[in-house]
Amino acid sequence: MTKDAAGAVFEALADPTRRRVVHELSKDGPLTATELARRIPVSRQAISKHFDSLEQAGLAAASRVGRETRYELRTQAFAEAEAWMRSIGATWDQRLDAFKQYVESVPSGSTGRRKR
Amino acid sequence: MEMEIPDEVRRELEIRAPRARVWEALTEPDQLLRWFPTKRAEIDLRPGGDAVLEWDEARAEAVVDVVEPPGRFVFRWRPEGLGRPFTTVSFTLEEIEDGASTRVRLVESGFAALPDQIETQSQKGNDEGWAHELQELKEYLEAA
Repeated sequence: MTKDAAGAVFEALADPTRRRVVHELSKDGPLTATELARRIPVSRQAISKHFDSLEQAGLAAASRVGRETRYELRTQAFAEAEAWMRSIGATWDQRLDAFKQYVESVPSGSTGRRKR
Repeated sequence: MEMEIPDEVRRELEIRAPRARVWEALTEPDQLLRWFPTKRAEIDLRPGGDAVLEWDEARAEAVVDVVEPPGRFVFRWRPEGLGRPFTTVSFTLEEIEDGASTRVRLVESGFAALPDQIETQSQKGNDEGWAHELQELKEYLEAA
């Protein structure tokens, strides 16, 4: 997952209503917009808009079943976002290792820093 | 694979050096450059101060939030490649072993938050909501 894609995932999930949509879909999905609007106190149109954001972030997918559109979560994007978070942790591990090594190898007062 | 997206990265380590030494290595740009792999670093070390980190092909901007020498340093930055979200990076330095060593705690948080939410108290409720959501999601995905 690219950082932009991960950013889109986290941004999509930053909205409380969208988290609510994810919550309902994770509990009982797939659901139609009508079913979602019954569970979440916003209009059906608003649900569709929020759903578009989730879909663009790759977090959810829509499918037609007869005359209905059904919404469900896509697990792949969540897994990728999680992997991206792990890579951020790994980057910190490297930085902090270097930090420890630097501090322990250079005693205070011998850093040659300028007086300000 | 365990399915979960944490909203923060937490690390803890012990450094065999006094806290004041660790503090200066963390907050003085010329020392920061010795271990943080950037080409250029500038830090206006006061709350509200700007900071810039530059790599060969990237640049991160930051805003200093908390400067409490030698114990606490907090800044917000925009991780490379991310658009709007700023994450908050918090360093806490604690004396251990009678001051001979320092425990360093790092938390980078707020991956799910937007900039305008970071500065308000609603952030807390937001994060709790997020944590709750992830737990639900994890249970769902693990059951699937």
